Amino acid sequence: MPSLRHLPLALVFAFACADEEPRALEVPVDPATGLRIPEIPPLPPVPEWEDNPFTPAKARLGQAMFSDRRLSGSGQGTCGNCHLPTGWFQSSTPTDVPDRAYPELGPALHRNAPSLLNIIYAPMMRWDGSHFTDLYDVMVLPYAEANMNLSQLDIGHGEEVDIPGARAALYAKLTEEVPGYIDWFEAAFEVDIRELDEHEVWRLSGMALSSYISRATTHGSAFDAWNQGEDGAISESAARGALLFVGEANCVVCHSGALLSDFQFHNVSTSPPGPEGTRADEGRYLVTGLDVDRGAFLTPMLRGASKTSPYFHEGIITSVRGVIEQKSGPAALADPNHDPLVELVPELDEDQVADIVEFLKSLEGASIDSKYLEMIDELP
Amino acid sequence: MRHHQVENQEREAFCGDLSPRAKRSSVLLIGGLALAALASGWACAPIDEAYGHAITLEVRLDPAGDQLQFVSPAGSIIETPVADIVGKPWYCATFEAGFSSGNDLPLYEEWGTVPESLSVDIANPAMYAEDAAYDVVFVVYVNSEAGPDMEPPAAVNGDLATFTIDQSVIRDGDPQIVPGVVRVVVGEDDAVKRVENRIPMDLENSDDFRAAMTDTVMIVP
Repeated sequence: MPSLRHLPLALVFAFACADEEPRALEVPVDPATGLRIPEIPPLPPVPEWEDNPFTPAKARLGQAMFSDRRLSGSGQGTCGNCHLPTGWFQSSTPTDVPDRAYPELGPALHRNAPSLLNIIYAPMMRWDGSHFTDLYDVMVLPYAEANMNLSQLDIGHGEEVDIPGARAALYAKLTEEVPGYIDWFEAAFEVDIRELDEHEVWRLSGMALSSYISRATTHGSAFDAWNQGEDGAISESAARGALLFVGEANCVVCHSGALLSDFQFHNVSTSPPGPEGTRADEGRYLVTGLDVDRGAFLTPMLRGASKTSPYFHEGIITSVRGVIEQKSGPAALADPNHDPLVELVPELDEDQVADIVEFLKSLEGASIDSKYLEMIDELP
Repeated sequence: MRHHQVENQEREAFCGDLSPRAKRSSVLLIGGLALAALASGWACAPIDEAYGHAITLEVRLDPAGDQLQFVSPAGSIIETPVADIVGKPWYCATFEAGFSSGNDLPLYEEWGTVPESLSVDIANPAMYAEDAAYDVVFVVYVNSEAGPDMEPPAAVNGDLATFTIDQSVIRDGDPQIVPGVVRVVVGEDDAVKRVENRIPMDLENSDDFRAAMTDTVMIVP
């Protein structure tokens, strides 16, 4: 089992011989792009919104809302329950418990809560793209779902979304029940939210939450340094994995660009039909109604992904290695409706899988200011 | 009647052996608290005389009558009969701080079953460096089938796992603490970390809530 030996030995080596310089393959820098692997450019600077320039006051307001239990239906749920700041903005759980379950342990939400790392860059969000308009709306949407349950959704109504009800409830929370927020909105947006309507306060709330989550990025990865010419920034295994990723393994057909996602929906047989022909989760089809979208889910971004186990929409795979093995094995073809692109991924041997794992680990980066990971001591 | 065993007879530790099992990779998902680990003896760091410090995780579950109370990720308190916990398999593993969940290997791992005393001490060998940080995970498989002859499975739905919200123990330059682990910093002496089934007495008190979420044994949704 050469690859199983290779990986553990590499780690033992790293532990015991930390002074050894990692060696990298000789991969030339493309003079036109300044990159060794132009298919995966560095993570760009955090974009600025013209309608919502970043300010610390907005981020602090968003951080407060993100962790404020009083803004949930039960008074116990928070955004951070499923998207723990200290857990790379995910919970590490396959599925999480919505606020409406309180005080019980279930029922759980039916899909994995994905990490919010780098979400500011995403042109498409959520496993099936449902209710997506822009980041502002997506960030505030959980108030209208079972997740935060401001609408006091009936537990028997599945994953219902009630935006009008949640808008009204959030408005009441922010202007009356927790009036300290009035000053915080004033500081962030120079406006008295009592003079705004529910729609405007809903939108501003999304802007504040977005300002906060815009700090959750993964700049400074070892891969980006190596890709821009810094020899030795990543291991030889990681370099081999990067070349495999964009080359023979064809991972890049879906995981492309700086975020390593095409932000499209693909059926990669993560929800294949059962014996009776139905899928446990029809994915994108539930939004579009198109048969071609049955079993299709959004391509996840991969920067930081090695820290955000578990994987897939149900959180059923716990390691990057397991994900790669699924994609390169017969399981990826199990759904008759699978995307033909999956067939471009060849069977990979254990050494190749180990190299791609190392490459993905080299994408980690650590650019989150610790002040955004902490609980706010004094909420509004 | 549930199967009760003497604690010291139930343990299996894996570190440095080269058994076929030790060469097999495995993955651990701590119920929602994803701690993926390639549980393999290959992963164990070689015992080095220069690294002479031990780590001990003290697990203390304090019952209220015939019930054990645990905090859930949502902050609610969930009761479980003591009888449902005693005799269940536990798994403990130590990693370098900031390990890559699902991808990095434990430095040490051990299996056992929960004794009637509801107290377990997991004493790692004296193999850890001074002035270094490690992450330790402990999980009780209450509902998941698990054991030393298996890969540690995903812990879900009523299983128990370590958790801490307290990031104040992170030293400058050390990685953040992820869900499912507690941080142990080895200083000049051997390190001891205690985790308990802490619960908030007052859900409206943020200090109380934070204390319950620190070095706790949490119930997994």
